[in-house]
Amino acid sequence: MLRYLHKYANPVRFLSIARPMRKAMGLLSLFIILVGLVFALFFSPPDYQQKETVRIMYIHVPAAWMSLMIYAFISFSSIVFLVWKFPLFLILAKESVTVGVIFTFSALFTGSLWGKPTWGTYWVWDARLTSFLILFFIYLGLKLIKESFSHSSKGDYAFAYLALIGGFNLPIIKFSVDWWNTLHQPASIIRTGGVSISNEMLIPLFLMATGFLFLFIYILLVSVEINLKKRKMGYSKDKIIN
Amino acid sequence: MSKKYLLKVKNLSCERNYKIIFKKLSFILFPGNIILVDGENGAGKTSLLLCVADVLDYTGNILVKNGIDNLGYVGHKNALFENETIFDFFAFWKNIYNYTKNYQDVLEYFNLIDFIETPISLLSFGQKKKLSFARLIMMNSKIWLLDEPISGLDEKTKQIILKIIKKHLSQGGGVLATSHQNLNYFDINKTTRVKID
Amino acid sequence: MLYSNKSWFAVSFFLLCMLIFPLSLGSSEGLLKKTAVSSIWICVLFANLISLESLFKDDYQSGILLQYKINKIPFSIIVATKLISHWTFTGFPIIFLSPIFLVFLSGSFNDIFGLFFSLLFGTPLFSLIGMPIAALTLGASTRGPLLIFLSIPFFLPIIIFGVLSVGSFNSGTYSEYYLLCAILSISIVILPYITIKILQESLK
Repeated sequence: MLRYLHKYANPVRFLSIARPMRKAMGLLSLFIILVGLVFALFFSPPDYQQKETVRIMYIHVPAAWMSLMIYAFISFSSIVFLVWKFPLFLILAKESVTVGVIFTFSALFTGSLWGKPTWGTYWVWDARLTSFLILFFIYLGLKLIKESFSHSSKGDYAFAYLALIGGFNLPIIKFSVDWWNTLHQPASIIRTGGVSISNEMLIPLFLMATGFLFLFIYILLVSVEINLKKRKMGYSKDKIIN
Repeated sequence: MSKKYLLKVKNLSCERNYKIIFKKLSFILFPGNIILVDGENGAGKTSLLLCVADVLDYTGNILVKNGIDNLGYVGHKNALFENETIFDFFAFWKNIYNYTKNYQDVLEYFNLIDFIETPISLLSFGQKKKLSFARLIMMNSKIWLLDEPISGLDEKTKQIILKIIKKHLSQGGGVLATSHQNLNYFDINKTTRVKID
Repeated sequence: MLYSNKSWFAVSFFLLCMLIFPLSLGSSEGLLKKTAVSSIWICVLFANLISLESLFKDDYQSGILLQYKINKIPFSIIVATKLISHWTFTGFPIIFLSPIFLVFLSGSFNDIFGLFFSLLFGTPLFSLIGMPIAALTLGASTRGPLLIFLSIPFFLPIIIFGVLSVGSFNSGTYSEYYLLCAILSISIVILPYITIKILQESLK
């Protein structure tokens, strides 16, 4: 495993794989998202309670999944960086942050849009929404710390350790928010999604999720490539990894 | 001969901020000798001292003579608690280094005896530097790492500090120093120059 | 250092924050009574955020931390003393002051013991969690605001359990106290270790 990682943690070798993969990922994500959107907007049935507004789910739920997945990815890469000191994993983690912020924001935004017709209000202090808001702030914190060090290697370690602490803390935060929520049950009854979901809804949901995943990989590969090329050209002497 | 070294550095390379700072540096520090590290601004003189002090990551070998477990260091920053008095300073570091002798002599040597109750933040630059050297003396280490020990000091303070360094050398200690200025003060046979580029 | 007024700053700030709640919520007793425990917890949070900034700052900027490292003074001792002194000057006085302020904020007398114990377990957690974050922002530009921004999300579970535990004390279930203790016992093992690692990295 370690030798395998060593082999591919080499930036040059990484680029040789990433470049052809990047194009495939871009086209694939475009195609899958388009197909998924067609399914979601035209072929899937409206919900018998929520009517047409349920279609927000096809953006909202995959975005939420992605933001969680990206955080797990950032934590994992940071741990790999801290343990084995492969700079490539740090670049991967750092470049994922912005994508994560965008996915988390869109999950929150579509969630509150969805909330208006279903709950009658844009925002409810429900456990899931609250913990997503906290996740959003942790993402913002990562983005801030990424940008506030002029001495880059010191900033890299700060970033990696923050991602690590955040990774361990997220379950605790989630648990505490759930706990808090069960004691302060809000008045409106929240329909829990994903219990009685039909196949016609599942197919576009998963299509969108895979499309988003490929989109994330595409953006990540492009930004890592830019980063590595900058580094190779060496024109940003002090901010090589940023 | 080879057993008499205080510090032996072999093929030392250092990478900081994803940049190679210096490569394959080798030198030996003998008792009574001083090594002057030369180089442009930002060439990595301070990094070299920090590598020897085992603060930065490096590749290569750094051998310190058996029995020396502490290195003395005076850097750009004086490492003083600004809101303490000189008395507190001595009381604190005396305990850390197990310095049993009376520190009044050290104070007197540096002309600091009148300021013993003065907060360190009110001292001048030269006085703060002298305090750093007073700590170095209390530490009683054979090897001193000095980062720009005399830059920015007035002539009188400079002489005091150079005298201290000379005394340390005569007692069989070794000094690894970086300096912009020409330190021609020391015996040429006991001075080695290391250039970093 | 006892005589440097910096160390009492956190407690003074805690007292100052206390003033905000009656003034902003209005002096109606019903509302104050309901929010008394939460207000105290918010003030504890503020006091901790304010005092976190100076936790490692002076040692880092003056080069003393580097001197410690070169002189091979184990960082575990430094971190332990920092933790203890931070708690003694921010957590400890607040624990004993809070019952008095509960009365000032017209909270109910039943909450006094609940609040006391929740602060007893909660304030060390504030110090523990704040420590690695204070360490990793060393050397950052605009450190103070950054530090506050980064630490609040991590302090949330403690505030949630802390405030809820006061209620559970009166009903005799104590479940949040167990949770606070659980988090405390995990944190006290892991976080100082991470702080040491971060401090060593910050010198490079």
